[in-house]
Amino acid sequence: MPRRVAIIATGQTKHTARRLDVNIRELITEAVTRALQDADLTMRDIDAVLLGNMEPFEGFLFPELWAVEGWGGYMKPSVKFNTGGTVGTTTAIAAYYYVASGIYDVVMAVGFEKQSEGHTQTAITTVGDPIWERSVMAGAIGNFAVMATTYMHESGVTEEQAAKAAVKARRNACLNEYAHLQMPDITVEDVLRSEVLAYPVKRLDMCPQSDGAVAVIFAEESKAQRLAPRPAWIRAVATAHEQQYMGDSPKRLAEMRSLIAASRRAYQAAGITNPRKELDVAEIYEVASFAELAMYENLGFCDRGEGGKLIDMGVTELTGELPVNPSGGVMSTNPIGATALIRVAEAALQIMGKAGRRQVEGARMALATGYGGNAWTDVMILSQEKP
Amino acid sequence: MSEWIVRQKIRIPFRYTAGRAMSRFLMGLAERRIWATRCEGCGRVYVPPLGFCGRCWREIAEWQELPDEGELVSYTVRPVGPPVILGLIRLEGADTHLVHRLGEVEPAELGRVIRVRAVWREDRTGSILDIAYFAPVRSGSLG
Ligand SMILES: [Zn+2]
Repeated sequence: MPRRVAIIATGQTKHTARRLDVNIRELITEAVTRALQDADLTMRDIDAVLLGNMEPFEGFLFPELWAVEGWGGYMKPSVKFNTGGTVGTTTAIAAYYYVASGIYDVVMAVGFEKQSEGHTQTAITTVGDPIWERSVMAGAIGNFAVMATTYMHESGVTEEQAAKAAVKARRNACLNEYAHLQMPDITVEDVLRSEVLAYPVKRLDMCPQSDGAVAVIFAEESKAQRLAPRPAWIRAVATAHEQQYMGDSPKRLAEMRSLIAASRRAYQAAGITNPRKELDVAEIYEVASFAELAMYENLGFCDRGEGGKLIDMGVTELTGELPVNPSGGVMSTNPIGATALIRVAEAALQIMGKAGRRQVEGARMALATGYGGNAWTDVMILSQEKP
Repeated sequence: MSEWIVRQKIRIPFRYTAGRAMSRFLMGLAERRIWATRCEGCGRVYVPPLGFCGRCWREIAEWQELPDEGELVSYTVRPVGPPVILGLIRLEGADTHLVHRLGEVEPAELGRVIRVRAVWREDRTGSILDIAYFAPVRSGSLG
């Protein structure tokens, strides 16, 4: 029997395009220090530290080694994770396993990326199949745009509807002091008129590249209850891996097989039958406007082909029936190795009632996802009630 | 013909922000000065300097200047071509060691070298290569 585990504290840096005042170690230390302060703990109270980073985006390998004094791993049990877009949720799920196993009581998950210092699109190309994909594509956008075109065709979603998701993200970000792209006056027109990167994807449909770090502290039941007034209990975790070769899944956005598999497994473990009704808030790894709408469908928030309608109806706005990404999401903030862990941190903040101006009133059940890889999914469900 | 091999190359450009402590260190080198930090928790004198001690998990605020002279702790020599000698140097007052080139010395003499000092370049830019190499401090030299 796994032990009960809860998130008791979080810490984030103010995510931004470029942090020239700190190096990578110093950036990570900011987030770790804030998480420790949030729980009123010191590094001595942490039994193990897990690090997430999307190497070699900054042109180096082994950040766990040479940035150790920054992330607190010195002489502690520790592991580094590198699983693409899912890095942060993989790290979070591992931290859950560490504590649930009974081996460690208090474990910190840390994620970072200093994207301004690397060349992300070059590094992303290394994910592709060496014979086919690397020869004809470069980076993530072309790959994604092909999927977006198929999705529009399959679901009838329009560029305007996708743009609405992009607007929601940047407006919600204004309520989040840590978010990178805060655009209070952004309109659907602005998104539609922004530079076309690869049809149908325009600059404002896409996530930015950010410098940032995040730390989340997990604890077993008795310590969680002692250390946090309202811990965020881990209700369910699930991961699923898709086959990597892109041509194998022509409808990758229309039908996100790993997202469907992982979310259904997590819903079942958490006893959720109607996610739109039973979830109070979702922090999803949406990377781009089109992906957010596709994820509504694949997560079962609505029927197939209804993703556009959901955004038209305002269901996923902060004041809607199921707010999605009140933090501003990935479209506002994307330090890749931290991004999915930020989803977990933001979902936990909602459950703990500490989300400030982006708080969803009465949030009792929250979903966090990571997505990447090309198409891997991690899911974590958090609740105010003990599992 | 079953062993078909595809050859490609990856080139990843990157930049690196030196950060608070190393920025001060590198600017110091341009002025022929070597800055270290001392952790008030464990007492270690770090050069190159750390602004944060991972062992003690605390900020380091104390700075001190070190002489550009110290002890040669270890070395190795490139066996082919013109000799390139790498040394491990502990500057006077430091608890950590620097890896740098050695010069003005023949490989055969290395076993007798005890102290070395930095030989600075004239055109310094704020790089560890502002120190051209470390050279033996010979007895009788003014040091
Ligand atoms: Zn110390």
